[in-house]
Amino acid sequence: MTAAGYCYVFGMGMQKAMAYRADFFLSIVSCIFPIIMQVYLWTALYAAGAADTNGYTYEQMILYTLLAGVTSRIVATGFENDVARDIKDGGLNKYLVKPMNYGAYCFAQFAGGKAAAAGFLLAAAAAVLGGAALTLGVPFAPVRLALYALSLVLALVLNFAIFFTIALLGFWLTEISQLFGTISIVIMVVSGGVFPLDIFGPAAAAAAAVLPFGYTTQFCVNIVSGRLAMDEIWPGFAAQLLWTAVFTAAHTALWRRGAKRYTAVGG
Amino acid sequence: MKQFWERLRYYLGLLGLFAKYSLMEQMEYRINFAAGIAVECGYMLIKLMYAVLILNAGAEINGLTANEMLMCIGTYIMVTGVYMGIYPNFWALPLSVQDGSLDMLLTKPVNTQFLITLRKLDFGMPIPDVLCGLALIVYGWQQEGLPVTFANVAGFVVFCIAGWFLTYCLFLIPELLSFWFVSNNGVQALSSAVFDFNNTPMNLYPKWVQRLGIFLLPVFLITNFPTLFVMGALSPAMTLWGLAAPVLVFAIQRIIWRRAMRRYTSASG
Amino acid sequence: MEIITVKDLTKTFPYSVKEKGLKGSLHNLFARQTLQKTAVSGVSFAVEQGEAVGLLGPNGAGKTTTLKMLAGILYPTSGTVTVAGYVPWERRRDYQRRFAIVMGQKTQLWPDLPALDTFELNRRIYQIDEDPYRRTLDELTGLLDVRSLLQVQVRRLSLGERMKMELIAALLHRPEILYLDEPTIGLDILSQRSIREFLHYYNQQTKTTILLTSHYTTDIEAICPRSVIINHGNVVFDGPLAEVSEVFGHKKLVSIKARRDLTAGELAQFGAVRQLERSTALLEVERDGLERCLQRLFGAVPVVDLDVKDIPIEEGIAYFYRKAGVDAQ
Repeated sequence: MTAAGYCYVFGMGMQKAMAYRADFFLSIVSCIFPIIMQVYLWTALYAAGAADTNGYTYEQMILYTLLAGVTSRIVATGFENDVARDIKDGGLNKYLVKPMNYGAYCFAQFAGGKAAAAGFLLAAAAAVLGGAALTLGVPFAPVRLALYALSLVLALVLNFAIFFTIALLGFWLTEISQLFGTISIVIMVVSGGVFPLDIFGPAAAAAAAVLPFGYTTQFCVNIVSGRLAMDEIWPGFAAQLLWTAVFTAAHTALWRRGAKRYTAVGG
Repeated sequence: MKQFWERLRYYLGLLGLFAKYSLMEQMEYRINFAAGIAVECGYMLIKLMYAVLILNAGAEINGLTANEMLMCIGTYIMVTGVYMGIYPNFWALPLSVQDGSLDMLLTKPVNTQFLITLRKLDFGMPIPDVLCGLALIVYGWQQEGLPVTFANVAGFVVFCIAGWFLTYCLFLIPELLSFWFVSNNGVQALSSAVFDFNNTPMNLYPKWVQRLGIFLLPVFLITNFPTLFVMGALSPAMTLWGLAAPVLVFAIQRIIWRRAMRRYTSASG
Repeated sequence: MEIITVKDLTKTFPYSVKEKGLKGSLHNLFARQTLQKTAVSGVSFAVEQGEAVGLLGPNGAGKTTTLKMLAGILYPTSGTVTVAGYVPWERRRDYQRRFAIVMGQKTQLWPDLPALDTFELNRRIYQIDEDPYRRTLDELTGLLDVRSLLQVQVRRLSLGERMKMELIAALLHRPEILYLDEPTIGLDILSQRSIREFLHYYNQQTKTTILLTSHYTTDIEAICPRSVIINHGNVVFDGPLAEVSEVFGHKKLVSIKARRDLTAGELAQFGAVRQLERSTALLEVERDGLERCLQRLFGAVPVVDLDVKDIPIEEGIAYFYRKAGVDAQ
């Protein structure tokens, strides 16, 4: 398929996101509740004098919570359900017979959906950042904002690669779509989408640095919040790219074996 | 009365058969079974992270000690774990509305809600949650030195069952919206976001949030009431509400159910 | 005795339209236009107890919708239906125990379990006693020749075997009325035939009322002495299927093969030329003057082979499909 073809699919993704209008608004609203909950949790814990939180002040923790909430929403996927359904119901056949790359097709659609939601999501991020800058009295450095934006783009690509890999496990796990709800919550948390993982001790912090998940959320938040020094940011970008490459290789391999199995079994 | 027992036997018999068939099906797909347990373990660990945070804090917060909060978290993990046992039905509901596979079920001389919501049982996913939840409850109960009397244990169990029943109703209602909308992913996200408030005991939240979560959308009953009962912290009025709310929510849910069925049978081709 | 009475049955349902393209999507995000589609409009017919009636019609004619209303799956927009004294969409348990529905596109079998397990579930749901259940099961599996497949997982069965199991699952409680929606769709010819023969036999033996929709006229001819043709939601024909072709009853088809190539010009005098390819041709001829026409034909053309046929039933049906304004699909 040509670039123009994928552009068309991108447009279809945008249209799809808008066709499910109720979903569209509700999913935006629903990311507010966990943030409220977190804010109260931390308020109570800090008020009770709790807390070994690895040097996070109350304000920093709240800022992290807000930014992580918005960021994890920005990078969130959802296409995995479609992929699993295509595999299970045999809908994949109609893609297999066309001269196109299924992964690229999914990515174009995913990107289109994100583009449709971009206005809302970026406005939310801007509101959090603006509010924080006003409350804390410290404006965010433009260079960090720019790097944050860049990290978001890479995080989107990385998260796509991760979830596409998981979705392709549907070739072997027929009921995987039942698990997607839970899987995406678990991945969101281990990405640092709820708490900063370093508050669970050095081992958790080390694990977050090594594993791919933190690079979809926590890393981006830490860029803009200033928790990462400038010279710590570049290795993070490298890690994002590296993990994207690893997962792309993984889902390419899975696709090859899965599609072969799929056509052999007869879908 | 005799008729009631006969109906109960009839439905329990069917439930037993569903359990048997579901187990047989799951044995067919062992990788799915194992994957379900593994993913649920991950989810359980996430919920445990909240317990870790609270234990680290170690302090008493708004009248609850760390141990009591552990009991609350344990209750939540256990009750939602048991809910996972019937989750496949809830998960499949929007799909079966779309592809019309409800049609055959509607023609059966059985209560439709029973058939649709309890037909498939999952035996894997509840395992980690129930074990871990029970462990937290027992640990917290013992550490806190709360009396282990028959009344306490019975009350705790009754409120857990009430909580499970609430979970059933409150998760079913958003699924029922799929009868009106092609996709209900948004509503599901919203409802699970509201349920996430149960990740921590309600004493961490300000009074107005607590009131909303007790009276308006009674999700806090699930996590907190069993423990509060054992602590002797439930007033008689609250105890009554804790038992009445599931019945009330069930009644509301039935109304929505009937409308959903009516909608299905009149709006589709 | 009349067991099914359908009067002025009408069903409309809403659907939303979307303008094409991104602009349409944007517009749709805020304001959605809903239209009403009429699936069934003012359909009336009646079925006697023990009768087997075929419902025919092009795709989208409202056959399945009608059947679903009779089974209580759908509420009608207006009109009345009584089946065995019940209003189907009230979904009384007593009514549900008296009918069964089999839809070619839907299943009630648990795919990962042997069909026998679904049968057992139905035994419990319909509260069938052990003894009659065994007898019925034995009889049905014998008739359909699937006794050896009872222990095989449903998903390992062929489509034809699966449909036979669906039929058994539906008939275990000995329903008085059996609704069948495209029961032979997608099946091979042998399976189609054995299911057809079974349904015919079962209807004759048990006097179970059958209402059947199918695209295959052979199904209907074999099972149903009477047919109702629905198009555009209306009944356009009601009677024996053989009578359908009587609209063309005054005509015959004559196919000829000659010793030399034929021309349309020389054949036109005998009747309407439907097909002509070199030395073979198909003519539509008036029945009244058939004998004289054939004599003249023998005189004019060096005929090698000749065959006279009725106009096929499908053409009669197609005529009725078109009559209501749409082409048969």
